[in-house]
Amino acid sequence: MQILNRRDRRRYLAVLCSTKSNDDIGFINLIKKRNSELFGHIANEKSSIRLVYSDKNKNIIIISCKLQNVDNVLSAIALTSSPLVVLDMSGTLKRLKRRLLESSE
Amino acid sequence: MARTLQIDILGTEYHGKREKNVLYRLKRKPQAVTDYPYIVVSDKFEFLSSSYYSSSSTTDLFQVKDYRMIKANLKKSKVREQIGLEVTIADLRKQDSLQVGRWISHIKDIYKFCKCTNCQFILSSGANSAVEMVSGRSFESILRTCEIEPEHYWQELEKWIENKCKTRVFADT
Repeated sequence: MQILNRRDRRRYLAVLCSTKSNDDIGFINLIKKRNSELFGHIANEKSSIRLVYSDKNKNIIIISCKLQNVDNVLSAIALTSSPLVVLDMSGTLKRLKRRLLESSE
Repeated sequence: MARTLQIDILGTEYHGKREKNVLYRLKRKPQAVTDYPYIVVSDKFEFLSSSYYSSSSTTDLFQVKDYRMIKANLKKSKVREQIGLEVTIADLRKQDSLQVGRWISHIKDIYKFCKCTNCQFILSSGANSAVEMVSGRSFESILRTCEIEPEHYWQELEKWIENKCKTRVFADT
């Protein structure tokens, strides 16, 4: 019997935050709010934006979203009021962390 | 930073020191031969028109700020070929979604206009600091939102920059 893989494919984004803040959820809410404003509440929910990891020393957060909505999320991040920069994107968290480490060296 | 963001060439103001992979944005054409590549940038509408013949009409890039005025005037006047029309993202960050929606609609029109008149459409971050920069991948997403094919856009932009640098004499050291 063939088992269908029903898991959605996700992308992990490393985002550089402009200001030092202990409130990582605040950045996520900012992205969600802009995404919702620009593309609608339903598209925002479908994007399923999550905070995965946070590096407070480097002001970098890693978020994940669904692959099919990644263009919306990237546009929303570029258009948020507090400047956020997408440093890198990957299909796996491991590879993204490795690339971030390589680029910082 | 630019390499991390997958941006090959940066456009910035000249501060007396030449750096690699940077195209300098000047307000006026220099009198002497320079040792750095540059483009002349202006936001004055008269430099955009093909009827404006002057020794100072060397503008390569026109910064679009007032979209309504530009759209109204572009239809009336003849635009110089090969001039770049630049729109920036930075101003949009503080605007509401309604304004952003309108901006996207303007971008579509300006892009169509550029296609018709052999001008180059340029989407710029308008960044004043590293944290305001926009990554190459984010640019592509915004272009797709504006119904512009990113691959074509990058190819056309590369050609346009090559042509601008080719026709301009600068001492390469």
